[in-house]
Amino acid sequence: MEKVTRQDVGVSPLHPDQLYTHINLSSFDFETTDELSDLEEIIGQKRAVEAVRFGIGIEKAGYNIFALGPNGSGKKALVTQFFEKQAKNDPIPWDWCYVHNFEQDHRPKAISLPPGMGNQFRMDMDQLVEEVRSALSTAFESDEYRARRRVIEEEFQERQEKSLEDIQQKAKENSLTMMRTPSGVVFAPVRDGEVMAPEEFQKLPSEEQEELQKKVEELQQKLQIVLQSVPAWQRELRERVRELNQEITTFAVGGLLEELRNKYEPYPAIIDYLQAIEKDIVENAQDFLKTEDMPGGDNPESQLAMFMARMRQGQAPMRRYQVNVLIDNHDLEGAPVVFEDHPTFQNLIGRTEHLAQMGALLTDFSLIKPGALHRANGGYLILDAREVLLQPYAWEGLKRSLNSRQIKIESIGQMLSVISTVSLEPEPIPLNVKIALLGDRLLYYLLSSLDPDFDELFKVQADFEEDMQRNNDNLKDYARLIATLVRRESLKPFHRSAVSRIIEHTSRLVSDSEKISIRMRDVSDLLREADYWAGERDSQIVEIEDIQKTIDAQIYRSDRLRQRYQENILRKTILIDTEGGKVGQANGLSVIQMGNFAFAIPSRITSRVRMGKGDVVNIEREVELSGPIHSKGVLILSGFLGARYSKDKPLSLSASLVFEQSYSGVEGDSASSAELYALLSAIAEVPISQSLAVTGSVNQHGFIQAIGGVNEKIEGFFDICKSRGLTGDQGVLIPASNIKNLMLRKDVIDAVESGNFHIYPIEHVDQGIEILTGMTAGEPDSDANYPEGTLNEIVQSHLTELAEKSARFGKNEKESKA
Amino acid sequence: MSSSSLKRTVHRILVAVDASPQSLAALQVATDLAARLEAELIGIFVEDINLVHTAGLPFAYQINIATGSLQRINSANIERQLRAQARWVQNNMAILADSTNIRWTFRVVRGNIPVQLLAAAMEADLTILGKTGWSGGRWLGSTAQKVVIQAPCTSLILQRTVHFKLPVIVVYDGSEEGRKALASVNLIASHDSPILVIILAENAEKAGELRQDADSWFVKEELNPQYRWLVKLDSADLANLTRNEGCGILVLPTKSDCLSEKTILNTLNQSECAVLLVR
Repeated sequence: MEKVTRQDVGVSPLHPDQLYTHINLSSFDFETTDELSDLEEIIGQKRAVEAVRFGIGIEKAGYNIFALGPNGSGKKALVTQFFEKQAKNDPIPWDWCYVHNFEQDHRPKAISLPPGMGNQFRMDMDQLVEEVRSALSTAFESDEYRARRRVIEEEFQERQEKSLEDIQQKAKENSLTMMRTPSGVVFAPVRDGEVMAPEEFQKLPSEEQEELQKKVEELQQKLQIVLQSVPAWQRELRERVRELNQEITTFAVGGLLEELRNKYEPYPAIIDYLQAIEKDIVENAQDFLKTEDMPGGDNPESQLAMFMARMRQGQAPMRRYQVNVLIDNHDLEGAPVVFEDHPTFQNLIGRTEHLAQMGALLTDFSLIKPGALHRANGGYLILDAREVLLQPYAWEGLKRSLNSRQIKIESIGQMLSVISTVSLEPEPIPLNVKIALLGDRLLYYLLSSLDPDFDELFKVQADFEEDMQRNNDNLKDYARLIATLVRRESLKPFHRSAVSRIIEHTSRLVSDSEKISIRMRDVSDLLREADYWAGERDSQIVEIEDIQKTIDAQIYRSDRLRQRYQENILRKTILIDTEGGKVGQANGLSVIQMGNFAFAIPSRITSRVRMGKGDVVNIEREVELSGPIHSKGVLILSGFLGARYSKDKPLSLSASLVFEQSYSGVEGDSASSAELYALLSAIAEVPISQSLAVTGSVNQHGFIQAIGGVNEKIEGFFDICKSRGLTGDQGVLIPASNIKNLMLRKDVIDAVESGNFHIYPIEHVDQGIEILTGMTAGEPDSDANYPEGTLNEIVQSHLTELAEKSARFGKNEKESKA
Repeated sequence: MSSSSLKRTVHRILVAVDASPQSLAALQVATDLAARLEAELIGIFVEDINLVHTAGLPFAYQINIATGSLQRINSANIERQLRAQARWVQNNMAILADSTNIRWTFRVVRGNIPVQLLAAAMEADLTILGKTGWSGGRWLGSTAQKVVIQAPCTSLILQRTVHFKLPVIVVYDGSEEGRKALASVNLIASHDSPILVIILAENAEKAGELRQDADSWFVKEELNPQYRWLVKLDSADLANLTRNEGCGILVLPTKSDCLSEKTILNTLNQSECAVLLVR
């Protein structure tokens, strides 16, 4: 058997410098962030910036913006900044008011006016009502009006009295009298001033009796005719009083309205409205007068009737002359930029509120309330896509408004027919708004593929980067960005060493030594917390130690579960060997993501082999604990084994692979190299060094491919080894292509530097197996045979043996059957 | 005569009620006055014998005021209606009287209305009745007319109600009745209502005397009236005066040489305020 030492293998462990890419402090020519100027431009988001600029610039329908990227990538800040910058140069949109529609009560009219004039118009109308009230009060209290009214009433009274007097006179002429009974009128014959008693009447000759009776009947008929005419007379009286009232009203309010007409001449909608108001005031002058001034006003019954009528109308009489200023833009300095953080259907589209009056829900135009679309109309609206989609009907409402380019206020209750009460259909308001939706990429692609309207309405895709190149220019800009954030948050100045540590940490956050994270939320959090820790030690400047303290504290707050795992490993509840050699057993590494915090723990992977039909059994998969990528990785191993060692004979083994003590699912192919090593060890019956852990996926040709979470994985195994005491043999095998991702913890680097821990970059399985077994892997000759004593030769011969045994076994079986 | 002695001159107030809105207003005024003067209130409801007779006639039909429809009536029917009205009036009176805590009686009599009212007025010091009854017109009703002429005691004829705080106009001609009229001002007006005394005199000298005469009485009562001198007075003048002054109550002496029965009746017809006819 050909033995090799680790030094013999063509792979050298990584140098400490390769494990962490420091920033050269000399590239920073400042002492603290106080010396740096603010960074106005957005860094690292060239694509998104271009997209937003384009979206703002193009004024065609449907060119709304969808800013997509992970949370905390600064979407809202960027979009808001660009919107606000543009909005300053845009014209201030006009005010919008809702007023009563005198022709159709339930369809209030929308009127737009130059900024600030909405309120002016409202005040003018309030004043008009007051002035009309006083003008009418004066007019109706005038002697002239009273006199004219009295004449009309007198005429009616006289007509009524005259008719009755005529009848009374007629009765007198015929020796009859007219008397009131408790509920009517009777006629009776009179003798000597007294009504004739029945006995007296009976004594009269029958002709006289008949004569009297006839006269009475005649008078009864006449009286009936008079009484039947009374309602018509009363109607006539009311009509004439009404005509008089209208004449007086027209005269009294004409001048007042003329003033307003002159003032609002350039606005035809208002001129039409004033016309309607004049007509309405003339028809309803009594609403302006105190009850005692009204015709019939002293009659409590008529007051009650009027009150009930108003209740039915659902409004105090004067309300209908008010102006509901929906949008007042007088204090804007350009176009509005609105962020609606609670985009419910009603908060977006607006709503109609109701008032409870005597148990009924009533509404009118004055209860119309604006939504975010109203407020942002003529400007810019920013919405969180997820929030919009979470709110019932909000997405549909938003799309409908954008499609129709108008805001139409509807009640959801009415829409679904779940509420049946008085409602309004306010006149729609034209919509001209640029919308930016903020959301993650998944939402964007889901909407794009599932909602046919989406691509029509959100044509501009602003895709946000999560990281940027770590070059000198970017580093300088990043330092200025930190300085800007520090000033904006009023934090203590950061020393340049602290700044460089922050940038290095952001490289770790994106697991790439050649990149910097531009997820601003993470950076801002780090700055604030470091400022706190600096304050704790009474420092006026945030130093590198504060950054380290912040990072450590963040990890400590999150790593309860990691500690529990490690504790279980150290107490041997979870069995992980970190020294010695075992056949068919390798240390894999798995990453566990807990919210924003990720850590790794070693997992024991074991393999057993026996004669079989060439299948590698993934036990996780059999019990459905294996994800599809993991299963794929295991199947690749069969391909690799068959092609490499059993090209010309059947692969007659049955191997089983398992993640020991794994009670939840396994996903990802990063353990496939470890599984392969365990499998090769099992076949060759050669022990694998347990002081090493392995990560990396493998392809069918045996090449090791990059994996994620390499830093966490190395640190995960290091922590266990360190707790048990570093032996100097321990280390981790990583894919060589992951070297650029290394941004390891300082204690790991220190251990590597002192030779107590090793990190091997592996390109091919053969390199890995040599380090793990201490045996030469061996290169195949032209017949695909491996040199004797090499590991591959042992594997090959064991497989050949199995194939032969299998063939013999098959033959014996057939013979015995024959 | 001080106000307390005045009070003693009115022990009983008679109010005629026939359930018409005007008579109910009179009932309200009567209750207030009775409480103020600590007098007993006598309510009287007269079942009109003429109506009962009419109902007995074979062709007695009632024409409904509201609908104009014809309806056969008989004595039993009318009597029932009258009883119901009387009970309703009595209930109203009870409520009003109880709220003011006055002594009161209510009686229902049957007969000729003016006759019965005049008979009842014999035992009262003040009779109160509406200007019109059920007829509701603007002219003095037949009942009121008879009472105005024949009443044995002072009577208050109401247009509808009385505004005690409005100005009181009193006519003074120097006669005994005139002095009674002056005394009655205190009886009827509230303490702070303005008083206008119309001095009826043929010449200025006489007018001066009468004014002095009246003034001496008003000073005793701590009242400060205004005076106006007229040589003669007719009903149109009086009616205009009441209208122009916004008069609440007009106090007229009866049986005065200056004010004939006809003038009084015409004044009642033409004026729109309450009139107190002093006897």
